[in-house]
Amino acid sequence: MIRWTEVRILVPQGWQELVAERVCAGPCTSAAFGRSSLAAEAVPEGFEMVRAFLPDRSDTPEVRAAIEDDLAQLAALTEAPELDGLRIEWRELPPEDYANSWKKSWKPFRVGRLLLLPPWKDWTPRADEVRLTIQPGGAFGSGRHATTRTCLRALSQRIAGGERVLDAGSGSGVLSVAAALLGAESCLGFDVDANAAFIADELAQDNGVASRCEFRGGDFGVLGPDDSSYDVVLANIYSDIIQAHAADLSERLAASGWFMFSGCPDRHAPETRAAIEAAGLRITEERPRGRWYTFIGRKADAGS
Amino acid sequence: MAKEVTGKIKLQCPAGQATPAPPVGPALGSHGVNIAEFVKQFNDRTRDQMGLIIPVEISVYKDRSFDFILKSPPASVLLLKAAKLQKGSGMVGFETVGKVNRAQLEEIANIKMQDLNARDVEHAVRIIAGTARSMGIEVEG
Repeated sequence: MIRWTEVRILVPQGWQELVAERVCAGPCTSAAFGRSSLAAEAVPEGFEMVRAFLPDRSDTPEVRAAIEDDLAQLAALTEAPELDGLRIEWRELPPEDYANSWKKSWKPFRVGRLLLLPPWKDWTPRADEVRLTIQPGGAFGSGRHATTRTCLRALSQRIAGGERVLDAGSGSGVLSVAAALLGAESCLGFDVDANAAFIADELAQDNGVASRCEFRGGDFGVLGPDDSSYDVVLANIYSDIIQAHAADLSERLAASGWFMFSGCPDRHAPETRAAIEAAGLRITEERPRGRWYTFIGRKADAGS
Repeated sequence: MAKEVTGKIKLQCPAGQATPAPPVGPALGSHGVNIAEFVKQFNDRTRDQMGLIIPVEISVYKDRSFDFILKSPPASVLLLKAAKLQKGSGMVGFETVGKVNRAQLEEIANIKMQDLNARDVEHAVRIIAGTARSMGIEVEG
């Protein structure tokens, strides 16, 4: 396993990019700025910490001398006296398999009947448990956000099997895929993010429910006249979008169906609640979690 | 659903060639970020700029998901372009390979101002001028 030496240089604010480039011209190939971790000591005001890394095979006295010489000349070359006397700290890092060590912090977790686990974990589900494999940590989250957990829990309690599900702002597709795994007949998700449909398709494939999940890129305009009368309408998105599109969501809900809208910060709950009710929907349950609200309900004219 | 940012990480990585090795590994690993996914996405997005070191800022969220933005190209790249050069001097101090004027410095300073975290435009201009000199590019005026 390669060992690394961290090359730390405290640099006057603004000059960090140049110093990083000078150091990276040698065997260090890239640099980080700032503290090594959230717990590390703060950088003094008016300075930036440049951290470059030398593989052990290149960490020789000659290489160190070359880096020190180069930085020693920098004040004269740039005509910037504040770069005079830049001090380099060399720290030999303990060996670590960086390609895999981050995985240690990703443990499987349960939400209701669902067991969410990363692809590299083998785990025996309990008898009544439904396994959802998800690659953690991309731009669309990993199912761990408070609102996603609330939605997953509600799905695991409410999906009875055979439902048609609409998922507005489907992102990673985790809610649709969970609904399909729990027994929904079909799920249609859409998201304005250009990459979302591709990522959600992959998630559905990885979980063996691609034939029951469809994801489209775009807003409500991607829905056709047949995309209506859904048994379940989901929206785990920004509260202002829920407010603006409450009527669009309501229009696509079957008379006997139920909705779940989440992603609403508690400070926006009153106006979001009002917009949902104004769209002809009746809230039957509110699930606060942390500073987030989730609204569940039916059509206002539906029976109880 | 707005996500709470728990960390901002700034790196300079070779376009199309980032690996889980430092600085990516230790910088992101301490936040529990999926390093393989970052490396894949960064390399996909920078493949057409191979040969350049690209500044990138990564936002890590409370649920340990992340996204990142590619920052403006390094000042050295912008200076080479302004001076119509392919590369800087190999013998800085002995050889001048090109020139930039005050207006060009100001233009680059404005592009780089935020990324450099410079105090003001004048501070940014001094840094860009210093970067030019360190590459063997003469600063006029």
